[in-house]
Amino acid sequence: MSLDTQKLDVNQRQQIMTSVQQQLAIQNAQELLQKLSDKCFKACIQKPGSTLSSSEQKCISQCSDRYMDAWNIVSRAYAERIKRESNRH
Amino acid sequence: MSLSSLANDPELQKFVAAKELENQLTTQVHHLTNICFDKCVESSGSLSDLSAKQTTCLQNCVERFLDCTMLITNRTVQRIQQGR
Repeated sequence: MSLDTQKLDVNQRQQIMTSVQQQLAIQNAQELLQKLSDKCFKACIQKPGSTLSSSEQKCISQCSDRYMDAWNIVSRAYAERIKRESNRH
Repeated sequence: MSLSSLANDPELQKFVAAKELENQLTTQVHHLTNICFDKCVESSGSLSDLSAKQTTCLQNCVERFLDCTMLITNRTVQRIQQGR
């Protein structure tokens, strides 16, 4: 660390940026996992039994895939809308 | 490394501001997907593949939700300005 404590050196700055980036990625993944669990539990497990049946497991994996598909479609539609709105003003 | 050295770094500030915006947009996508998945996918039964109809529904759902938000925001601002 340099003697001048008021300034960050290149490595320190890079370290902070990487850490911010990682924290955001973790937060995003947690949010997605939370939503997937909520949605697919609701959609696939009508009566919780003693184990997950194979049909429940199949439903959960399909539901997860569809949720990710939906996420991507929504993300694209939202980005296009923002682009359109910013061109209008 | 002190807090003031973090706050006084313009490049870092710019980076954090950009990430903050990116995070806001991602949060909004989570929120929209949460709502539109129920409206367009879960309620329609089939989970095997997204149909063209479900895809269009998701796109319309995003557009109409945002229209709705803007309408409500504008009306509320008007109301406040009129002092009601």
